[in-house]
Amino acid sequence: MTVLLIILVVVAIAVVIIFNNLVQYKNEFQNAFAQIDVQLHRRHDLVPNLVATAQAYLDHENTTLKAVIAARNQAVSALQALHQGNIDATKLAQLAASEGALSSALGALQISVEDYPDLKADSTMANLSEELTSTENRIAFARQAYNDAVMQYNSFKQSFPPVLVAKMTGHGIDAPLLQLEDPQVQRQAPKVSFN
Amino acid sequence: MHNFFKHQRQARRKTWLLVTLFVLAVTLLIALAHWPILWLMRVLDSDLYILFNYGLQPLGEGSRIHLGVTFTIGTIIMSAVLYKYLQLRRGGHVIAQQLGGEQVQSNCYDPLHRLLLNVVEEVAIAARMPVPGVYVLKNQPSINAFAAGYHRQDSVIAVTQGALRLLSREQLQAVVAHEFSHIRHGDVRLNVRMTALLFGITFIGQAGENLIHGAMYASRGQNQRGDGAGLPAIVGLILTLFGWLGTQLGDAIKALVCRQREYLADAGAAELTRAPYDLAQALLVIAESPRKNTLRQSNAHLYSHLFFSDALSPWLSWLSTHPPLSKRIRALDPSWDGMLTERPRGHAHATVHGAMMAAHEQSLLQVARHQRNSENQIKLEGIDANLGYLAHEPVDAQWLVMMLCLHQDWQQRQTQLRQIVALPYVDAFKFDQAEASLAGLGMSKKLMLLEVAIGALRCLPLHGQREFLAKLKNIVVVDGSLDLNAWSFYELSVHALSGANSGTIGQFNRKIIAKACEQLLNALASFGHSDEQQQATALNAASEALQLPMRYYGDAQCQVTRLQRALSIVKTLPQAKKQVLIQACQLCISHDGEINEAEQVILYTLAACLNVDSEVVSRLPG
Repeated sequence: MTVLLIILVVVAIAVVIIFNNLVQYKNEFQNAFAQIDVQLHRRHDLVPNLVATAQAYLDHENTTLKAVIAARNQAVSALQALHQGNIDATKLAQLAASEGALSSALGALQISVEDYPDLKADSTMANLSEELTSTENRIAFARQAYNDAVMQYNSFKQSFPPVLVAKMTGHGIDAPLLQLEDPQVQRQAPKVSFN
Repeated sequence: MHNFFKHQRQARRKTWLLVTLFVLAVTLLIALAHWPILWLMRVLDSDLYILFNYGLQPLGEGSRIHLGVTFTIGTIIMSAVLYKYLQLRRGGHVIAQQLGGEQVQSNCYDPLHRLLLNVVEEVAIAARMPVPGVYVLKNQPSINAFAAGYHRQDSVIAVTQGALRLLSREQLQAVVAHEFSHIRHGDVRLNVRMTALLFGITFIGQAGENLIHGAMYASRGQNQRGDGAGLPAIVGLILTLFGWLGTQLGDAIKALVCRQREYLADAGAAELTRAPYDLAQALLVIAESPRKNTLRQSNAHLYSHLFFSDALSPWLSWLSTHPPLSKRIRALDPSWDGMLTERPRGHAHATVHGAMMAAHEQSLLQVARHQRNSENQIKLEGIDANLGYLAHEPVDAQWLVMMLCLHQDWQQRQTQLRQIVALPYVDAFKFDQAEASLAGLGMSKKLMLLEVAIGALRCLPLHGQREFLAKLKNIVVVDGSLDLNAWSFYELSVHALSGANSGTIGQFNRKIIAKACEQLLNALASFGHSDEQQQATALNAASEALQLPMRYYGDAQCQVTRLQRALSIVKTLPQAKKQVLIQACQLCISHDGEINEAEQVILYTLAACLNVDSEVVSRLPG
């Protein structure tokens, strides 16, 4: 009888510890997501300044600038959509897609800036470029931290004793990793044509 | 975060190794010190009993002199250790200042410093750590960096001017990440302890080196007074020779304890940035730089183990505090062929940063104006850019905080505004702008602004901060009355600026404490509920939670003054009691199931001033 009681108590303690760990890891990755959010906002705020500065020099390349603005607006609305309700995989995929589009549009803009020595030498532009580089790095690092936290949560949840407890206590679904929108496109080498 | 505890355990084991080695070194020094003293006794033919055995019982002819010498030297070493430990405990900024570092302010215009700040903030995100203070060692052309601190919160990271100029952005990031992992692994605390312990056996030699260094610079600076430099140099030389053995032992201990930690920090940096190649490149730049990578600073020897790479070149390779560069590069980049090519001196920042440097050199003012116009660096979420700019400027932040403390009542507001405009450092144009944009801000945005402004205010000199607080106190209280929001901003700034060391004596009288709690909760209840019945029940709930009988005052006047008085008493309570009190406050607030803005503001202020975490705090209205 006493043996049974002792076993019960030990199991109960183990369940409590596992549950607390699950909660802690979940909070950690949610906090890490908030960090990405802050940095994405930072980038969205930076884009109008960048476009305003570049406009003075490259009026006739308006398509590039328009593409940047459009991608930015889409990214802003995707981020807003994510704020309504929980973090789920489809909304994350949408956000990742629109942020990826913004990244490539900004990349195109930076390439066209290379062709204008005046613009490149402009101190405001140099400053904005530095801020943009910094923001891109911050986003990348925040995403890395988020993915690390998610991995920690998921692998704890799937390992042996916790796997028994996780489903019962509302930790059934794996947390989604934040991936690049279309890995095929990203990994392709840029096409070069000579004509 | 996984390996954090493992690293801490390792650091602790290293501490034991350090202590053992230190005890051995001290024993050796004391044993060797007997020779010259006994020889001196024989030469002078006198008993040094008075000198060394003062106050000790005579133990017999042989042992008493040994005991006396041991005791005397031990006391000297211990007091030196204690002195250094207490000095370094205060935080990383002490070491950074001793090594000639200058703090990089958050509102700096120098493009390279801006870049450094950005890089540090980026890596802080990757490491999920608070942003440390950033210092630059100006006048140091070598490539080096270090991290210092005792706690995580007071850590700093310093980088030499040479590293800023010669490393590319990615390489700088890798170096900063290396320093971050020193903080993460608990190495900085180990280093503080080691510095303090070793100071006990090296301080004589260190003093000699400082004298020689000072004499060298004095003679270089003022040649016409050549006779002044000779004496300190000779005294310095004697001291250096006298402390030579201690210095060598200190170096050997540093080498034994620290060298492996560098590999660990390199690996940690690679984990943070996921770019081991960049760190390898940074090390390669150091290895290939045409001049020696030594640091020209008199205190560099004492802190040589803190640095990113060897700060001094020791006379024996096994005494060096860092592993050889080629081994570190090989560990990070196994495909490296081991070839070193001499590179020309010059800037690494070729394209964008080159343009930045050029623009900077053209016209500093212009850059400043552009930065101000572009508003990108100091943009705060949802806050007018002008306000964000003001909050980052130490001088403007002063009156911005005063503006935050404006009262609701129109008459009192006008009195306050007149007082603020009369201050010598207020620009009338900016003032009008700020007033207009502040009017549209919600409470949580204002609190955010206050946090930023306080960061800037910390850059003021200490007496400036005191003057500011005195002025703020004058402005906050109008005709003897106080507004709730104004009270909140005032208490928050006083708490942040004067900090924990305000030196108040704890209140032990139970009656006074109970009275203060009663006043506090009464104020809370009357702000939170319009109906008197509800106020009384809310107060009752809190009083049951605290198990203190409380009287209900009814909706009396001067609630805010009452709050202020009560807070100053409650502040001196022990931490556990504060926690209980905040919980009671939460109970009182959430009694009727809804939390209004006034309640949240009070609770936020209380929790911040008492250093207690509270969950309601994070849900302020926009």
